[in-house]
Amino acid sequence: MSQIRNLKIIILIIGILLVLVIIRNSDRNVFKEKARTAVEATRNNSNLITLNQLKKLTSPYLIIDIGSEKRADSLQFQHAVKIAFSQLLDKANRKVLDEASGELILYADDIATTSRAWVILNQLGYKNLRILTIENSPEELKYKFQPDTTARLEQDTM
Amino acid sequence: MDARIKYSLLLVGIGIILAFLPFSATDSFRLKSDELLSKSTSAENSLSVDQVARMVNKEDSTMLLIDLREAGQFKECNIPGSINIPFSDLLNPWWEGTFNQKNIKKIFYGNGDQTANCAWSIVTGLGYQNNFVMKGGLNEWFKTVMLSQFRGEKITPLENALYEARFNARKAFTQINSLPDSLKKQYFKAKEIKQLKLDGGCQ
Amino acid sequence: MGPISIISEFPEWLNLLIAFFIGIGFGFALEQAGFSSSRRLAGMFYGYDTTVIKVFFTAAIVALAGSQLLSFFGLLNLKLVFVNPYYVNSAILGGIIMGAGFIMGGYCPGTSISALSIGKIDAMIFLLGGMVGAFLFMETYPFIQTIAMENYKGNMRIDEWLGVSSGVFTLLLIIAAVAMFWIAELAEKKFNRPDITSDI
Repeated sequence: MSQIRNLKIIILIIGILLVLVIIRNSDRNVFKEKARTAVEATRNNSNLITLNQLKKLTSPYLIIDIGSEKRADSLQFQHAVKIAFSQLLDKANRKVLDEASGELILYADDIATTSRAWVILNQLGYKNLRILTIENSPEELKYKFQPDTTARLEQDTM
Repeated sequence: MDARIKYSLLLVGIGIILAFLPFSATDSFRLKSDELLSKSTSAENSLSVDQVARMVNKEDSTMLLIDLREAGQFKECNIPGSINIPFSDLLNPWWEGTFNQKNIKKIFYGNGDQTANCAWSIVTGLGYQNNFVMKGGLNEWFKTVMLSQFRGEKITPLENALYEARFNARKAFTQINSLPDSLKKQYFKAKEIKQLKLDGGCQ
Repeated sequence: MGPISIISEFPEWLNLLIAFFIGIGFGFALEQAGFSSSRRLAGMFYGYDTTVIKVFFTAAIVALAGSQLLSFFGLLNLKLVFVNPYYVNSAILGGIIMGAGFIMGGYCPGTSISALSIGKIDAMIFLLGGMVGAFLFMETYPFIQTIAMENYKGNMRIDEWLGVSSGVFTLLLIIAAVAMFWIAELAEKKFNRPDITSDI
C-alpha cells in the first residue's frame, strides 16, 4: 500500500498525459496521415478517373458534387450527393463520407476545387478517393512552344 | 521509495506512452482540417495569368514561381524566373528552405489546375505560408498571354494596359526560352546558387 | 524559442532575451550540480564520481521526451530543429582529441566557463588553451580539410537509420539511460576514492 502511495504522483502525471494523448487522437480535425501518401497517390494519375472509365466501373461508388452550377456544360449526376465545398467537413457530411461504400468520386466544375478537396480528404484518412475529370488528361500541355531562332544583333538579345 | 527510482519510473512511463503514439506529427499536416478548408475556399490564393504576367514583367523579387512538371517539360519551356520542383519531389527536405520563406509569395503552376492545387494544399497544410496558385496553369498562360490578340475597333486604356502587359510577358517568355542550352544552363546555375544559400546551419 | 510554433510571432529581441535567460538557467544548473569542480568531472573517467553522466543523460532524455510530446500536440515544429551534418572522420577524430583534453584538463568547454565564473584559475588557463586550439585549427584547416570533410552522411538521425519511429527510439534511449545510471552506481561503489570524494 505504501508503495502505491509513493507512486501516486507518477501515476497521476502519466494518467494526465495519457488522457491528453487520447483527446488529441480523437480530435477529428487533426490530420493523421503522412503527407507522403498524398504525393504517392497521384503517381501515374491513379487518383483521376475519366467519364469513360466511370461508365465502365463495376464496383460500387458514390459521386460527391462539391460545386457545380446549373450551366449548360456542367454535368449533373442522378444519384450524386451535393455538398458545398465550404461545408465539406460538417458533422452530417462527414457521416455521409464515412458510411459510403466503395469508391468516393469527387466532382466539381473547377478541377482546382476538387484537387483541394481531394488532398484534405486523403489526409483525413479516406481511401478510394478519385477526382472525376471531363477531359482525358487535364495535366497535358495543349500547346507547343516555338523557340524564336532568328539571328539578331548582340544588343537585342537578353 | 528512492527519488531516483521514482524519476526513472516516470521517465520510462512517458517513454512507453511515446512509443505507442498513434501517429507521427512531424510527417503530417500541421494545420487542422477546418483551417485548411477555410484557406482552400478563399479565392485570395488563386492568381490569374495576367497578374502573374505583370509580376514577371516587373521582375518582382518578392515572388517565386514554382514549376511542378517534370524536368524534361521544364527544360522545353517555362515561365521566366521559375524554379523546377517536380511534384513527385515536393516533400524532399532540400526544398524546406524554399517553402519556409514567409515574405516571398510562392506561386505554383503546372500544365493544368490539378497538380498546382494539390501541391498548394500540401504545402499550405504543412504549415508554410504565402502560397498561391496560377489559375489554369501553362495551358491558360499560352491561351491568354502568348496567343491572345485584341480584336475590335476601339481599345480602352484598361484593355491597352492589359494587352501591353501580355505582350511584354510574351516577349520575355519567348526570348528566355529560346536561349541556347548553354546560356540557359548559366541562368539556372545562378538560381541554384541562390537555392544553396537557403540551406542554413553551421556549414 | 524559434521552433515553438504557437509563439513564433515573437520579435527578434524577445527571442534573444529568452535565450539569455535560458543560458543563465543552464549555467546555474551546471554550477549547482557541482560541475565547476574538475575533480568531479575527471571522476567520470576514473569511476569514483558519475554525476556527469547522470546529469547530462537525464537532460538529454527529458529534452527528447519533452520535444516529442510537444511535437505530438502541435506546439513544436520538429522540421525546424537543426540536425547537425554527420562527418564520420571528423566526429571520431574530434571526439578522441576532446576526450583526451577533458581527462587531462578536467574540464570541457562549457564547464570551464562555469568554473571560470567562480574564479578558478585552472579554468582560465583551460579556456585559454581552448582558444589556442581553435586558432590552430583555423590556421591549419587547409591541410586537414580533406580528412575532415570525408565520409559525409548528411543530416542523419539515429531513429531514421535504425528504421524505428521516433517514439520507439525515445523509449529505447530512456531504458538505456536508466541501465547506464544503474551501472554508474555500481561503478561508484567499486572505484570508490573517499580521499577525493570527501574533498569535492
